[in-house]
Amino acid sequence: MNECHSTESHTLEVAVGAPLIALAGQPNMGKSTLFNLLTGLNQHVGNWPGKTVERREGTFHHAGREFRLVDLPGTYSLTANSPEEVVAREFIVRERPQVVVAVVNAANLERSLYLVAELISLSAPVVVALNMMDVAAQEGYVVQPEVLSAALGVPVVPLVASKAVGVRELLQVVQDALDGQIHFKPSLPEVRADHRAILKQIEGLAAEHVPAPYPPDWVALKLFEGDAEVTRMMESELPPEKWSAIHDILRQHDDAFLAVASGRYEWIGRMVRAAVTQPKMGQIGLTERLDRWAAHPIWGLFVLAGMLGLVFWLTFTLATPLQDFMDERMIAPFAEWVSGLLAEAPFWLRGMIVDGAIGGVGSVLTFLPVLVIFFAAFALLEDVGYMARAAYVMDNLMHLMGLHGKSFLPLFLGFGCNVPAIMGTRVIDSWPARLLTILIAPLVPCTARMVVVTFLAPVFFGANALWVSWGLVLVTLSLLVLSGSLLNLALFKGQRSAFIMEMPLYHIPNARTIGLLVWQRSMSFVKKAGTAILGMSLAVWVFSFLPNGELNTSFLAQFGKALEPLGRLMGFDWRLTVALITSFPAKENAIATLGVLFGNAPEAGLAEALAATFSTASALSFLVVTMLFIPCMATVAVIKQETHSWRWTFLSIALFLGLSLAGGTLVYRLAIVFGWG
Amino acid sequence: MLERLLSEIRSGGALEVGALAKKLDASPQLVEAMLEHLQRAGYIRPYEHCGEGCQGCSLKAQCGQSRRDTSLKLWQG
Repeated sequence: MNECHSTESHTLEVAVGAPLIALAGQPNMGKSTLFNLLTGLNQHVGNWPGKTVERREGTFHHAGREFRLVDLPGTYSLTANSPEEVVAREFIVRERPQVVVAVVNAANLERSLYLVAELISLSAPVVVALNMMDVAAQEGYVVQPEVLSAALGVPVVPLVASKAVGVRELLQVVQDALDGQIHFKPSLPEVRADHRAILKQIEGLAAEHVPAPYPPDWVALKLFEGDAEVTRMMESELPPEKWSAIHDILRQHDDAFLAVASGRYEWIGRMVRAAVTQPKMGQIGLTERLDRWAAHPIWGLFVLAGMLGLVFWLTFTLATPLQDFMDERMIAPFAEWVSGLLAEAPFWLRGMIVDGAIGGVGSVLTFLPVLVIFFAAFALLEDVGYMARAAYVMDNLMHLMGLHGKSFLPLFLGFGCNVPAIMGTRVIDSWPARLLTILIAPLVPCTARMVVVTFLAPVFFGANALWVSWGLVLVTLSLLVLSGSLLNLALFKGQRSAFIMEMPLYHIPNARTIGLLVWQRSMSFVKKAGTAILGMSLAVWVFSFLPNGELNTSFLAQFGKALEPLGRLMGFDWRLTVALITSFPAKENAIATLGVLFGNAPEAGLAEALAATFSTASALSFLVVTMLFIPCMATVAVIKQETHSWRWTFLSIALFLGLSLAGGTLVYRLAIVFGWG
Repeated sequence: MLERLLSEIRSGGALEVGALAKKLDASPQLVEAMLEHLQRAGYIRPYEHCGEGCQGCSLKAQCGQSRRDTSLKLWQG
C-alpha cells in the first residue's frame, strides 16, 4: 500500500518503467477513496490536456515495487457523451495502462457493470474491484466474487475501500496480472442477435482504415452506437464511397444504439443472476406483500379511500378536544384578559383588537391542533412510503378514465398547493392540453381548503364530520377525473405518455423527518395567520364596525346583503356570503371572517355559534362551495403568469364561480328535499 | 431487453419499476439502471419541476435533492 508518502503534491518523481495502472468506475463507486488510500500524499492534481476535467495521478509502492496510478474521471460508459467519457477511453486506448482496475458497487452491480462491459471490450487487462461489500451485505445481497470472476472471465477482488479492507489482495492481483500469472479471457457482451451481421459488415468496411491504436472491432461498435467522436474520426479516415456505404447502413438501423446497449444489459443480467443472490425476505418481501393491495389498480383505490378516511378520523378524534380546549380555555380567556386591559381604551380600538385580531386570527389559530394532526398523518404516510402508491393508483384511475401521465403529475402536486400544480404543467408540451390542465388544476383539493373543511365539518356535523369530509374529497376528485377525461378526449386525443416511478420500500417512519415536516408546515401556517389572515381579519372588523359601530348596518353587512340574493340560492345569509368572498386572498380567511362576525356572540365559542345559526343544508352547501370556489389569489396570479392572458385568467375565475354556485345550489336544494333544511 | 423496456414506456400510462421488472424478467435494479441509461440517452426525462414551488407539495419529502436512497424516483416518457 502507501508505504512511501511524500509531502510533494505537485510534481511526481516516478521510477523509469513503473507500471501504469488506471482506476476506472462510475461516479460514487468509491474510486477516489481507493485512489487516496493508495497514493496518500503522493498525488498530483491537474487537468487533462485541453479539457477542464480534473486529472489525478499518483504513485504507490507494493511489495517493493513502484506503481503509477491514474484516477480516470467517473463515467457511466465509454461513449462520447461527455468530456469525462472521452478522456477515460482515450487514456485507455492511447496510454495503454498495463492494468485497468474497474471499481464497481457490490450493492448495485446492475448499474456499475455497464462500464465494465465496455472496459473489457478494450485491449487493457481489467481487474474488477468489488467495492462496498459491507453495504451489499447490509442490504441482504449475497455476492460471490469467485462466481462473478468466472462469469466475467477477469479477476474480481472483494473490497471495502472506506475501511481499507481487501486493498492488499487487490494489489496482489494487480501484481499477478502484471507478472502474467493471470489468464484473462473476458466474456464479452454481444449486440442483439438481429444486428450482429450488420455490425460485422460495418467492421469489414472500416477495419483497414481504423487509425492505430484504436481496435477495429471497438471502432465498429462505436460507429454502430452513434458515437459522435468516432463517427467524426472515421468520416475523415474512410474513402468517401466506404463512408457512404457505412452511413447508409447506419441510417437504416437507427435503433442500433438500443441493440448494443440491450446486449450489454442482457450480459449484465446474466452476470448478476450468476453471482448475486437477491434479498428475498424482510423489507422487500413486506413491500411486495403490502403492494399487492396498496398498488393494485382496483384494491389500491379502496386502500387510498380508506387511508383518507383514516386521516380524517384521526384528525377529528384527536384534534377536536384539543381545539375545544384552545377555544374555551386559551383564546376566550385571552380575549377577556385583553378586553380587561383595554377597558379604558377607545371602543373602536378594543373592538378591533379583541373582536378583529383575536376573534379572527384566534379562531384560525384554534385549529392549529387540527392542522398539526392532519399534517402529521400525511407526513407519516409520506415517510412510510405510502404516498407514492397513492400517486400510482390515482394515475391508474385516471388512465382508466382516459387521462394520462403528463397531466397527472402536476395535478398531484396540487394536493399540497395549487400553485406548484399550475407551475408543474410546464412539462406538458401541447399548449391546449397545458391550458386545460391549468384550468382544472384548482379542482384538486389543496391543503388550505382541506383545512377549512377539516375545521368546519365537525362544527356543523359532529360525529358525521368524517363521512362529510371524506365524501367532499371524493366528490371533488370525481369532478377532477371527469374534467380530465373530457380534457383528454378533446385535446390529448388518445396520446399516451408514460409516467414511470420507482416506489420506495415501505420503512419504519422517522420521527425527526415527520416532526420536521409538521413543524415547517405548521410554522408556515402560523406565519400566514400572523400576516395575510391578520390583515384580512382587521379589514373585516373595520368594515363590520363602520360607519356606526353596528354590525347589522355596517358597510360589510351592506355589501353582504347586496349579494345575499345570490347567497340565498345556496342557503347562505350575508355572513356566510362575506366569509366565502374573503376566502379569495387565502382560503383560511373564511374561518377568520366567521370568527370576527361571530366573535362577540353570546355563545361559548365560534363552533357553538355557527352550529346554532346555520342549518345542515346551509352548512353542507357552504362546504361544497368552499371546495369548488374561485382558487385563492396566489393561484389566480400564477394562472395569469403561466397563461400570459387575462382572458384565460378571468375564464378560470368565471368557471369556478359558476361551478361553485351550481354545486352549492344543487346540494342545498337536495338537502332541503332530504329534510335537512 | 432495453428496447422491450422502451416499448413498455411508449405504451404509456403509469409504470412502476417493480412491475416492469417482473414483465421483463429482470431485477428492479436492472430496470432502474436501464431507465437511467435511457435518461442519459435522452429517451426519458426525470421529473424535475418540484424545485420551483414545492413548499406545499405532498411529494416534497421524497423528491428532489433531499431525497433519501429509499425515496421516490419519477421519470416521464
